[in-house]
Amino acid sequence: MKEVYSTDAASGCHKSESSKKTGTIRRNPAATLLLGLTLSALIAITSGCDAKPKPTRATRLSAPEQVQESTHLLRPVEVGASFTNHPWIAHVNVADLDLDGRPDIIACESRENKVLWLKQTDQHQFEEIVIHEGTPAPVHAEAYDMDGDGDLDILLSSMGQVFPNNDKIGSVVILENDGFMNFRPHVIAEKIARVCDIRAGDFDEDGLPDLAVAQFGYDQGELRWMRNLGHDWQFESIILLSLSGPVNVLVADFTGNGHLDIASNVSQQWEEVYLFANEGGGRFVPKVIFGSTNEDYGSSGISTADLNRDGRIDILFTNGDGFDYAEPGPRPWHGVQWLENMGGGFFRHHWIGDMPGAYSPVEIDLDRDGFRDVIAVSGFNDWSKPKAASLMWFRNDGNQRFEPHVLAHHPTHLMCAAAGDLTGEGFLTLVTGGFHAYPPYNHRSRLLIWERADPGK
Amino acid sequence: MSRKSRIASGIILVVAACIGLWLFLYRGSSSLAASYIPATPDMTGWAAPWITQMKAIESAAEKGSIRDLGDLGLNYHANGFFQEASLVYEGMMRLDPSDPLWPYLYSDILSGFGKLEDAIELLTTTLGLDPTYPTARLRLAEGLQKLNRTDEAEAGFRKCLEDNPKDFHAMIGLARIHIDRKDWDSAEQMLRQATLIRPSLGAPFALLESVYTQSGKPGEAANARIAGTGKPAHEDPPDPWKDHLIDRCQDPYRLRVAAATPRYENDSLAAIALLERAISLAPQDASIHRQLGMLLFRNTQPQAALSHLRKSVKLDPVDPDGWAYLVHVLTESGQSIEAENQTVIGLSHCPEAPGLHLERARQRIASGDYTSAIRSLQTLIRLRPEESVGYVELARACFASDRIDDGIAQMKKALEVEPGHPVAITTLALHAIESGDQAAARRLLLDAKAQLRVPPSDIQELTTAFSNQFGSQP
Repeated sequence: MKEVYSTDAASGCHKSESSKKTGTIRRNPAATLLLGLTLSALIAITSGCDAKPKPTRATRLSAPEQVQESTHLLRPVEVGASFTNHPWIAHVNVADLDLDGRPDIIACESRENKVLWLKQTDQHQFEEIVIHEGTPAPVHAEAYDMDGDGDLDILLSSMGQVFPNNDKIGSVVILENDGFMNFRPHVIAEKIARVCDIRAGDFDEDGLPDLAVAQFGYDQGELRWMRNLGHDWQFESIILLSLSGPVNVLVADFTGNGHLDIASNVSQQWEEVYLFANEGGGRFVPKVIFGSTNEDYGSSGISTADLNRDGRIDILFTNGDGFDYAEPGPRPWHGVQWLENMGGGFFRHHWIGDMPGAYSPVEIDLDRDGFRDVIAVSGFNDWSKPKAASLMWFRNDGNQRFEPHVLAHHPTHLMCAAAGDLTGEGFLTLVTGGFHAYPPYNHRSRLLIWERADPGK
Repeated sequence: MSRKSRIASGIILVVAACIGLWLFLYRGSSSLAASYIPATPDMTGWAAPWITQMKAIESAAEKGSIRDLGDLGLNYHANGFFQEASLVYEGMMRLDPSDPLWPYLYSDILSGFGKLEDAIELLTTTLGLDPTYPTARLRLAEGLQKLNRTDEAEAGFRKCLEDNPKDFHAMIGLARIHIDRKDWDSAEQMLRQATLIRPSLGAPFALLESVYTQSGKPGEAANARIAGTGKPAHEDPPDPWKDHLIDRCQDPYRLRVAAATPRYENDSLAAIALLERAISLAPQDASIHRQLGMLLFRNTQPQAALSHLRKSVKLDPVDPDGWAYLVHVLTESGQSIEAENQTVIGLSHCPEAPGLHLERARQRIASGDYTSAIRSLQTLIRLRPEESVGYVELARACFASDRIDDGIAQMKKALEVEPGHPVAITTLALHAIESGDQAAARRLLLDAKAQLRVPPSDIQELTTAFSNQFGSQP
């Protein structure tokens, strides 16, 4: 008789299979079976299964990595005006707005209804200039030469009011740069569902930059693209999606067909990421590329990246909006993810790491090892806990396995981040904005750049 | 060997074999069950009786009790230990493969973390075991829709409707598919049915507005918008397989969050019960008392509400919201003197509490002391310049004290910070009419008509006033 053993690798226990080998016991098969069962019993009794096996089994839910404390790596430095109130910086961006060769910082102060330009006068020295005020609840500012005159204008998203409101009080505004850093506002669309994000791209390929617009709204929202008619700041709107909750738009050739596509994350109860694949000439085909059936998933931000450096544009994605229900706060499923672009409009979802209240994912090679890491800020962590992270770094080991590091526990309530080569040395510096709309108010910040604590490393 | 001996030996051998088989299977399943017991997570800060209970369950599971292993998973799931629950559910699917509960609950965890493809596989397993559980079918269809597998999703939604023709969630799902296809008529039909079945839900009205807007029916779009205003956007489908988990929850924060979800918004007694449990677990947590106080007040139990709100401010006297809610409930309950007293006490603890300055101003206006009211409102505006309420209240106080121009200036500020504020629009429109500014009056009247929160009767009054003043229609 031959015993064939298979090992359950996880439990370490043996399972036996009896197989009759011709000629071993010929006359009494029943006896063979009985004998086998008896032996099995003896084996089971003596096989050492008493010891509790270690729980080494993998589940389909990624096990969280051990978070490392790396608060020594970066040092926050305040830039811009001083403050005594509760700043509401809804958006930061890095762009060389005056084209003087030094990247600047652009920010939206949505409580004071101001668009700020932090002109970099010397390395990490900034002069704050208000370039526009009065447009209610500005929440996103993007630099782009809309009129083709060689200077950078600003695409300004206005929600009308930051906090929940279903009125049609949003507007699309372009701040036209006269070349001398004077900005003249052109209201391209107004009295529409609240606008969160605007990006430019020539979707119909007529040589004029068009706009992609995310309108969060509240119960009613929209996603539209606006065809540039080429005269007097006139645009024609084409609605791509009629759902509440679009937070961001991204413009890039995601499908690789040579035409600019649009991606958007839609929150509220839908919790989806859409790709509007441009077949050419502005003919968009919608497709859901990620979705959660968890209505409280909390989609909070997307950005473009190429984490695996395959040349295809991936999408970084955070879910950390904690403003639903009860009091603002984190949820256990909040975190940072990426949608790997597989080509042809197909994306594969990967979890990067847990992060309560995650917002504003940014691709950056923080440790300068040649692999693209991810950072994100937290707008809604449990700030009663001293160890709650407000800034995290997910270090890429080169194979898109990410090791979580806490870069800062405070200031708290960081809602937006950007990265840019502020020093001109080819390395990106982080910029963050503080959004202090709810307590506690004891660790506030307005605009920060995060310098390397040890510049030599 | 004699025949008797052989029979006896045979019997002994059979008995031994049976015992052996039983032992083998028992120990096998015991060790298998044990292999799915996760390492005990950090339970620091959790209630001691629950930790003891969990240890006992784990111990029983280690001895091979499959029932206790399942129990362990349910407890982990209910308390947010999703990694641990996932491991147990993996085991339960192997040890108790005929029970659809395990793949279903596992799918719930995975979809919650965005792992939709895995969740769909498990939902398919669930329905293979029990094709009659409607929520699994709905969740599967919703998941397929989010994976862009539209045809399968549509078939799933249609099966939901076949099983339950009143399944408004399935109607919304199907309507979204029609909307994606720009089949406005089918979408409208589906959504109108949903509004008839669930008139208290906002989502179908919101989608209807989009459908009407896209299909060139602005009047119907406006009506849909009005009909949906103030209604909750979402409502979870009934899900008894998952809902029972809350009974095992020992985490006050999760109980608080659950009590505030749409599922419990329409069932205030159940929400109150959850918060009472939360308080039993964390009796010194002021925020739970505050939440329960407001819920009880909405449930027309003002005395019980006041008791919890008083407890809240006692436990955390520097929480401005606790005081604001206490004063609000006292005022609404007609206890105006006590409300004023508590406002003063609250402001002594929280001098920068916007809600208390607002209450203080309203109290002063009620007593005719406009000077004090205006002072309080100016403080409120300094603290919350981005909110319209301070400007509107200040305008009212100015009007009441015959400072019309100051009041108009404040209304203009209110409109700056909240461009659609209905009171500000109508007040400014009336002022423009009365002051003979026809262009401004016409513009503001148009804004008022576009603002669906302005009642039609107000529009009519303004239109009449405009005609009387300017001798023409606006």
